[in-house]
Amino acid sequence: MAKNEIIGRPFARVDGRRKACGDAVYGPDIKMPGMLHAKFLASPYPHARIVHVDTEKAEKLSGVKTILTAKDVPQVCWGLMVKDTPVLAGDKARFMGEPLAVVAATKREIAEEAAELIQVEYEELKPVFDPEEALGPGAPLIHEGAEAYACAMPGLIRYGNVCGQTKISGGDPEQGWRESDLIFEDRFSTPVQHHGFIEPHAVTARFDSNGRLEIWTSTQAIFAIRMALGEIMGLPLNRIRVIGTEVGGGFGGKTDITVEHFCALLARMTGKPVKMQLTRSEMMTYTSARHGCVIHLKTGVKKDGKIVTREARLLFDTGGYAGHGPGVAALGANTILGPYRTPHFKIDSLSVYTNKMNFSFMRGPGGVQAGFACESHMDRIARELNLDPLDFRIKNLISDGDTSATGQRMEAVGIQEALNSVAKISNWKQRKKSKNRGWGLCCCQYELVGMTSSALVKLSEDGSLHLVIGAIDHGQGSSTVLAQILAQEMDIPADQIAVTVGDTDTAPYDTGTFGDRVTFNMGNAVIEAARDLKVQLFSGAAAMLESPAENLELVGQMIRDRDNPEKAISLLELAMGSYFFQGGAPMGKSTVLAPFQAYAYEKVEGNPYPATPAHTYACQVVEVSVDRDTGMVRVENIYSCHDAGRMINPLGTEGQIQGGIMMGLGYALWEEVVFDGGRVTNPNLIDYKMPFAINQPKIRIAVTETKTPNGPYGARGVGNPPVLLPAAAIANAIHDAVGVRIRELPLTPERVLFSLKREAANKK
Amino acid sequence: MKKYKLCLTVNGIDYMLEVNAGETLQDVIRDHLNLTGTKTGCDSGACGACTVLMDGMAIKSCLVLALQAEGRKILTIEGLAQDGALHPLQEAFVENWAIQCGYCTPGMILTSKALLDENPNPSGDDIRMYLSGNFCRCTGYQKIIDAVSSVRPLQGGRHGKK
Ligand code: FES
Ligand code: FES
Repeated sequence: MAKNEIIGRPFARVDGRRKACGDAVYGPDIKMPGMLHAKFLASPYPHARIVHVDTEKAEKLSGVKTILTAKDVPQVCWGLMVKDTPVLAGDKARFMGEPLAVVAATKREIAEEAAELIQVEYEELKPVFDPEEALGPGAPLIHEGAEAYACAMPGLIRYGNVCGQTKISGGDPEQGWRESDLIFEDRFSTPVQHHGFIEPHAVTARFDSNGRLEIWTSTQAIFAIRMALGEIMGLPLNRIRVIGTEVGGGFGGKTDITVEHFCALLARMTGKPVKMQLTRSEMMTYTSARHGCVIHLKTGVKKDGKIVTREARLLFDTGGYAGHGPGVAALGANTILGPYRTPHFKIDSLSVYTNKMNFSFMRGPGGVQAGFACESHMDRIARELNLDPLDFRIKNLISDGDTSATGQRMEAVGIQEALNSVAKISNWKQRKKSKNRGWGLCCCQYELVGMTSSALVKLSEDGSLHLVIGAIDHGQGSSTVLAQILAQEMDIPADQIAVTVGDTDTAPYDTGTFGDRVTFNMGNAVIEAARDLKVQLFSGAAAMLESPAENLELVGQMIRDRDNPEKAISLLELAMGSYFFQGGAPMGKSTVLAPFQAYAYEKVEGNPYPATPAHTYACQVVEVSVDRDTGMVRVENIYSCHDAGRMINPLGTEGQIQGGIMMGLGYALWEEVVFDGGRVTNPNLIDYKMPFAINQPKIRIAVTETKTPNGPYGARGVGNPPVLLPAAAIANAIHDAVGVRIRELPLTPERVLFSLKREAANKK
Repeated sequence: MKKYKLCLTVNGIDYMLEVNAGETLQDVIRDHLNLTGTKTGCDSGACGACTVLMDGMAIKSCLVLALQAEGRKILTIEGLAQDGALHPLQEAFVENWAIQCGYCTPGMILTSKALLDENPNPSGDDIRMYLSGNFCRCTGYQKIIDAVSSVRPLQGGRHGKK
C-alpha cells in the first residue's frame, strides 16, 4: 500500500472554506423563531449570605417571561471533580459575578433591565482572596460542610479550604539534603490568565413536546455537557441532544457547563427556545481562567551540577468552586521536576478555594505555572554554579528507562533531541552577548490525556466515506488530521472524506477536546475503525472475488487479490453490492481507551492524573533586549523546538506551535486579570492586554519526531507545550541581559524597573 | 421605541430598514439582515471580529451606529466571493492554514482587503501594523501574515494569485 503519502503532508483544512466565507455557524449565530433571551444577575459581593431575593418588580416588566432563583431550580450540586456547585447561588455567594437569578425575556435589553430590577438583601461575609491566607487558621471557610459533597473523582484529598491535594514523593529527601553540596530556594508567583478566545460563550436550548432537550452550544466536550445536564435536569441522557456549534476558540475554557443549564431550565419553564450569550465582562468575571499560583521550590545539588533532591509546594488559587482545580494541581505536581533526573523529592500541590471565580483548565493547565517556576529555578542554579544553562540541563536530562515524578517508566523521551535541535538553530554555543541583551533557555516536559475515543466510519452507497465522531475541532485542526488518518488507512484522497463532528445523537462517545488528546487518541480510534471496516469489506469481497479474505488489499479505491491483482472490485461496486445484496450497509466502528500506565502507586496520593499515555516535549531559546531606563523588554528572537512524535500535518503542527507561543508570550509579558480584592478591575479586551500581530517577535521553529509507541503513527500532541515555554525563557533572558531575576509574572516594565532599582540599591 | 428609516447597500443589495437609534451597524448586519459572517467578540471596538468595509474602509461595525451608515456601501464577508469563486485573500487564508477556529477570519480578511486596496505590495511589518486592531488568539498571526503576503497584484492593480 502506498503508505505515508498522506501522513506528514500539508493538507488544507477541511473547514477552511466555510470559515473564510463566513458561513460557519458559531454559538452566537444560532437563532430560532420565537426565541427568548436570557441574562443572569451576578453577585456584587465576593462572599455574602443571601438573605432575601425579591423578583416582583422585575417580573412586572413587560416582555419578561420568567425569572428563576435558587429556590426554583433543581437542588443539585454539580461539578466535574467535586460536586460543590449549585445551579444558582442560594444560601450564599462565593464570588463577585456568581449568578443568583436568571431571567428570560423577549429581548436581550429587557432581560438585562429585569436582572437589574431584582432586589437582593445580602449580609456580607469576611472574604479570603489569597490561597496562602485561605489555608491559615481562622480563614473564612468558603464551603461549610464540604465534607458532605460527593466526588466524581475518587481519592481526592479535601479539608478546610482545600478542594484537592496531590502529594508525591520519591527516594529519600532527608538523605538528599544531607548529600547536597548546595541548596537553592525560590518563591514564584503567576497571574490569572484569561483564555481570550474571541467568540463569547453562547448557548441556545429548546424542549420539544416529547420532553426532549436540544441544546446548541459552543463547547469542547459535548458528552461532558450532556452528562452534567442530565444530572442537573434530572433527565436520562438519551433525552438530551447536545449539538456542538463551530467553536471560536476554546483553549480549555469551553470544556464545562457555563450557561447551558440556565438555558435548558428557562426553556423547560417557558416552552420556548432560550438563548444566552455572555458579554466579555461576564466572561471575565464568571467563567473560568488560568489559575494564579504560588510555588515554593527548594533544590539540593552537587557542586558538579547534579541534582540530588527537590522539595516543591504549589498553591493553586482555585476560586469559589473546585472545577478542574484538583486536576490542575496534579498536573502542576507532575510537571514540577521538569525533564530532569531527581533522585529524591517531595511534592505537595494544593487546589485552594478563595472568593474568586472558578479557575479551571486553560491550555497547559498546571504545567504553565510549574514550568515557569521550575525553569527559572534551574536557570538560577546554573548561573550560581557557573555552568552554562544548556550544559546544566543536559547533565540532568532524563532519558528512556528513567521514571517520571509519579514513577511512570519513561519511553520515547524526546527532550534530548529537541534540546540539541534548539541549541543548533539558535546557535546557542556561539551566541553573542552585548550590552543589555541576553539569552534565555527553557525546557518543557508535559503530558497528554488519554481516556476514551470512539469513531464511526460509514461507507455510503456510492463508495464515499463519512467519519462521524464526537470530538470537536475547536480550531486546532483535528478534523483535518483525522480525515488524513482515515484517508491513509483507506488509501483514498483526503479531500474525498467528509467529517461530521459534535452531535451526541449521532456520534459515539468521546471524552472531549482537551489535553492534547484528539489527534492522539481519536487518531487511534480512526485507525481502528478503518481496520474494522476493511475486515467487513474484505469478507464481502472474498465471496464475490472467490479469494480468501486474508489475501485482499485496498488500493486506490479497489479491493484486489494481492497475488492475483486482476481479481478486483471497486469500492463503489462493493458498496452497492453490500447495500442491496449482502451484509447490509458497512460501518467501521471502534472505541479506544488509552492504555493505563503503571506508576508508583504507594508514592502518589490524591492525584487524579497519576500517569499519562505519552509525555510531550519542547525547548525554547529566547533573545531579549532590555531598556534600563523604562524597563521595557523587547523579545528579539524566539527559537523553539517541539517533538511531534510524528507530524500528521506540518501546517497544523506549526499553527499550534506559533499560536501557543504567542499565547505564552502574552502570559510572560502583558496578560493578567487584575483583582482588587474580589473585583476584576480589567474585565475587557482593552485593559486586558493580549498580543496583536505587531507584538510578534521573530520566531523560528523546528520539529523533531521521536515516535511514541502509543500514538497513531507515533504522533503525540503538540498544542500545550508551546504555552509553557516563553515565560521562563524570557525571564531567564532578562536575567542574562541585566542581572535581575524576576519571580513574578507578567514581566511588565514596572516590574523590571523595580527589580533593577532594588538591585542597584542592594549593591550600594 | 421610536423607529428610524435607514437606507444602505450591503453586498450590492439596497435595503430600506427601520432601526432604533441605539442600534449599531453590527446589529443591522447580524440581526436584521442575518449576515452572521460578521462576528461579535467584545461589543467595544477591542477585538476586530466585527470588521466590515464601509465605502471601502475597514471599520468595526460594533462602533458605528446604524444611522451613521445611511447611504453607505457596506461589504461583509458574505459579499467577497464572486460567483462562487473565492477572493484571492480567502484562497490564501485557506491554503496557508491562516485559519484555525476561524472566528477572527472574516474580520482579518476584510481588514487585509482594505490594506491591499491601499497598498498592493505591503511588507510583513506593514501587514502586522495594519492588522493590529484584530485579535487572533489561535494562529499567533504568522500564517495570516504569510497568507496576506502571498497575495500579489496582477497587472492592472486587481489582486490575483501570486
Ligand atoms: S465586536 Fe466589534 S470590535 Fe469586538
Ligand atoms: S483563528 Fe481563532 S481567533 Fe483567529
